[in-house]
Amino acid sequence: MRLRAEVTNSNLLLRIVQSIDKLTKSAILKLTPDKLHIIVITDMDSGLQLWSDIVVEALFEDYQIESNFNNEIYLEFNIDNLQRALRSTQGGGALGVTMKLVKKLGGLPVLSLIIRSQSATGREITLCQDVPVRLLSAEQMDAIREPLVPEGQIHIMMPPLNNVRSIAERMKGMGDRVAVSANRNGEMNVRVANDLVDITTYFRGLETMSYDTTTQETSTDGGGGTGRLSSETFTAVVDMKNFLKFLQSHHVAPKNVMCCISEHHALIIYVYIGSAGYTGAAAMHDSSCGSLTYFIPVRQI
Amino acid sequence: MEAEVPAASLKTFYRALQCLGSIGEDIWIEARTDHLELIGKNASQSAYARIVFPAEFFDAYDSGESDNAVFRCRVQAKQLVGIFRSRTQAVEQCVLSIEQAAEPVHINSSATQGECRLVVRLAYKQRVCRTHRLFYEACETFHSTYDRRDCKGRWRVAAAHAASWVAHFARGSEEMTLQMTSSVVRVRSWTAGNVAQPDATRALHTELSVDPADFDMYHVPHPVELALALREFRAVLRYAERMAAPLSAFFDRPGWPLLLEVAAPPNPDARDHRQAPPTAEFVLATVADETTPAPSSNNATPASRAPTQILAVPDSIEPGSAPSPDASPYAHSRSSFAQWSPDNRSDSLLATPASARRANTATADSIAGSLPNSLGGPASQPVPESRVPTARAYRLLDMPRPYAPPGLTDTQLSDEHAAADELRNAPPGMVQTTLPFPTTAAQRPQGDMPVANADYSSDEELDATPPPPSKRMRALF
Repeated sequence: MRLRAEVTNSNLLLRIVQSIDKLTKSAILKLTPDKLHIIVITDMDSGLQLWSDIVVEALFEDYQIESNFNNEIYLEFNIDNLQRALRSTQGGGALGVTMKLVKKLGGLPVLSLIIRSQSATGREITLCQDVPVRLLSAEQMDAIREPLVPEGQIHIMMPPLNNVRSIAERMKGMGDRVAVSANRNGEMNVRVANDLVDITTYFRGLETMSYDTTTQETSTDGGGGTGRLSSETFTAVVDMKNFLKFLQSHHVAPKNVMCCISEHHALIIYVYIGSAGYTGAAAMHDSSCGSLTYFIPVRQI
Repeated sequence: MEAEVPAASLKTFYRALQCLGSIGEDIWIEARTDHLELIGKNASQSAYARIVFPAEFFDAYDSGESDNAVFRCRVQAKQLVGIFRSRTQAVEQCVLSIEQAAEPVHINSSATQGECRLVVRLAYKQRVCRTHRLFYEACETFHSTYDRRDCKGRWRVAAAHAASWVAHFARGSEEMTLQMTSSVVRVRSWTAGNVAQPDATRALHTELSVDPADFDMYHVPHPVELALALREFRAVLRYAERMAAPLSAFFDRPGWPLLLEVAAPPNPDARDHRQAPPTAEFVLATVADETTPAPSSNNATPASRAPTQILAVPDSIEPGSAPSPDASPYAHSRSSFAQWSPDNRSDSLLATPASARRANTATADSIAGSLPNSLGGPASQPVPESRVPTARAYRLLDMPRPYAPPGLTDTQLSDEHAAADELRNAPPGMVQTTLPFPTTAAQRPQGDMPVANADYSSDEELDATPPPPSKRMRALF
């Protein structure tokens, strides 16, 4: 089992880890020959899950990976440790960062980040941050699967995450659950309510994806039919905490964020990590360098 | 003693206090005729700090004593630091003085005049004046017996540089090692905890290699590796950074303490008060190596200047005391620390608390009375020693503990112990006194204000223990 790579885009990796920072203590890193996956599961049943993937070319150069399981490596690590280690890679004077999977004394595996940088006097300082990891076997990794969610009823591009985040921050004291709803007209509402207050934020002019699914029929018999009317609103009520956790992904400065509402089941949000800018239907195609997919289960009352 | 701190140097004074406050709980003040010393040490006696303000630093300085007499006292660090923490920009004049009671203070008199207090008076613009009166305790001070001239290795480095090494360490790191050779300096962080498990819950381990050419002065004749506690080292670094002064280090070998000095060179061009900046020296204990014959505490005698005794303590540990208990907390010593040895844990400079417990000496008295006099008590401690996993935790947790943990009211203590016992074994702060004036519950006629009474009804029970500060305030006003 071998892993070695030159981290060229440590800033992006740091921002990704910052997005997952407060979710939970540990996360799983799955490294394959062409992609890097970060999987965060906060709570098996009712918690938010994050499944992300990034092409390795966006982060590394000279990427070498070898293992017995199809050249894939599965690691469990502590998010705070990795974040601290990556933070050391920032700052002026960093010349190069190398990532290696090594066994430190005692046979303990660590993900070692070797950072060469320049001190104030110009001499080279070598900093080595060892993030302790736990190796997962292929069977353990198999047990972890993406959650099965039924097809969403509506896909809508979300407004800029910073706007939504500032609004959600204000709303968070009002209640412990938030209702996210959208319709085909490009309208999205974020609503929170408690005994005294009811706050709704209306976003207009958003772009929606229209699917050619078999369930889509033009309704001729007025309301009550099985057709999807363009003004029908689909709502998902999720935990406020999970919603805020997802909004932490603003750190990656995503180009597009697509929200998919699966009523009564989950809110699935695809955060596309920016590469070249593009909008609209092209966002459906995975042509960016990576994406973070949040599965937020609908709150069961 | 009276000292007037120039308004422009208040920040410097505050930084010194802050540094001492982050090392230990108390600050000892020693006022000599030509300088004022502030001394601090940490709870486990493994770090010592001394900051000297020459008389020229002050606008006016009078030690108030005759030539050879020295005024010594101890105050609580938190209180002193808190005074200077904020709002020092608008201060026009700051005077520290000692007020001593002209006559003995009677317990029943409610006058605040005539008490022994350290008075800090801050005069602001617009004739606003803030006066703080701090309780001080006259006591003995202590000094380090180590001399930097005895140290073979030394270096000096700019503070910002040193701080940048430690900045990379994870938050939970407890210890660090400095491995110094002639060609490279390696700084590593270590954390306590169960490192034997291949788990992701271990902490980040950081290792940094620095070129000795980065140092202002570097003289290390033979390679040496020192392991010391990170917390105190960070406090020293912070102080050096804030003072923008270089940090000098003097060391000899593992087990011998690391001497650090932060002294800004006087600037002849600046105004008067800057010509006498404070000099600070720190002594940090390091972990003894297995191979070096570091004297363990049972060999310490008053005569020999044992390296493990930083403090010039008149009494010493009885030679018969065992170095460490049988159920040593280090029976499972960490695999990462090849050189750490459970039995040679002499980095706690005096007797390790466990052996002090066994020795049952009055050592605590000599250490400026800071440890409670309860060495006999903890023999019945329910805390199992094998529970304690780490060095630092060991030093702090196994400190001679009072019989009653702080916070327990006397109603919860067991009845078998006489009141005198409780008094002796009480931790500092849990003072068994009666208030000098009757409590409000006794004062107020019974049956009045039933709602409010509910709050004070427990005053009777708590009579022997002072009520928590918020309640006490309510009782006074």
